[in-house]
Amino acid sequence: MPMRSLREVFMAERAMGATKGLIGCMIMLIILGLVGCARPTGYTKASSFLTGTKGYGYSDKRINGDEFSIVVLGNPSTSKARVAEIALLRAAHLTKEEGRTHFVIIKQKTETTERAVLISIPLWFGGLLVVVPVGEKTNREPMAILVIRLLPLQPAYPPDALNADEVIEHLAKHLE
Amino acid sequence: MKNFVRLAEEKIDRYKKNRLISFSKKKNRNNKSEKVRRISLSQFLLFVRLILMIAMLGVLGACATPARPGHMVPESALFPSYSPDSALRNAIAISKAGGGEKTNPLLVSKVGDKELHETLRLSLSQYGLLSTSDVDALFRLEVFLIELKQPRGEGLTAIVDSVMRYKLTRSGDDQVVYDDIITASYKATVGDALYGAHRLKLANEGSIRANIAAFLQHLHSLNISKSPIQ
Repeated sequence: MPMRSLREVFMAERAMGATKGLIGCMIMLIILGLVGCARPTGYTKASSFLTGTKGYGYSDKRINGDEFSIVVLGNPSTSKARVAEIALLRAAHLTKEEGRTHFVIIKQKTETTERAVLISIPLWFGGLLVVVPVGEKTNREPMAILVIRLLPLQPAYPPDALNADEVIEHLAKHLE
Repeated sequence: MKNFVRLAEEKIDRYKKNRLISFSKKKNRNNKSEKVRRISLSQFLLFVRLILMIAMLGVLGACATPARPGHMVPESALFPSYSPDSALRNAIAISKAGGGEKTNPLLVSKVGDKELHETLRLSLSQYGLLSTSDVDALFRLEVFLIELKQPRGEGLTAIVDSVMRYKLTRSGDDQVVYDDIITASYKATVGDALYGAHRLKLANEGSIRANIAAFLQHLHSLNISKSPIQ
């Protein structure tokens, strides 16, 4: 009889430990989820994942000569206006990096793109925490596209030209 | 009295023996169940290992391949054909197709410059817009793949967005007659392809196809003259 009760106590403790572990993992997942999504995308370079796909942030390509394209992808918490500002700030930084002072915007566009994301719940299964997919949802993410041309250094610039220093001064404060 | 005591002792002994037997039986049963559980856990781990090995083999065996030009050409039935007197008929040469990315076989499928150029050539040719000569063409087309937004593997549906810039220049006076950014999206579901890498390739191809289709539609609605005088 005492042996049995000891076993029962052991089993109960084990069950308690498992429950505690499960609750801990769920809290961790919720916290990670909240931390990962709550903040809008900042002025950051879009990092490449191991798979070769890009994350949130800006990326740029040289089209030809002095023409560049800038693309900013924001997370679902980011507004269209914010990604457009990040693109403009990147254009200004790019101008400075190339040793220029002014640039002109040739084309600009903001879009809302979709991304399918799995909805999954953590389940305690056979002593292991298994994340089980239960459905799929579509997240809406803003994207800003900018095509710019860097202007050669000259004494006077056309009226549509933007001064990179001025753009940085205006936008860097709340984006960087 | 003695007999009674002996009988009582015998009874107690029998009871103890019975308890011992029943306890050992229970113990055996518990051991057996533990053994069964242990075996099932090891089987489960073996199962997990097998799945991982199959997945590894799948990854190594099915390398990522680039998008296929033939699958990125818009369907001809989508648009009305160009009239013989159209300025764009047999008049466009592809001067540049860039912005693509080479496919790394170990990573995901991409759209390269070569595939993009070939797709444009096939598309323009299908509508009778491609010039027979690159030098004497009335119009030059520059296409740049600004972005190919691909999923990061968080969902079953692969949604790919393509952002492309099309610039059409009249050779006679170097005037840009069309310059725009077109975005197009395509969704490939599990119904289209079970294998994720193939699903992504289908989504890439679908997105580029939709993008070129949108460009051709814009082009069809434009009223472009062959020369500045006309």
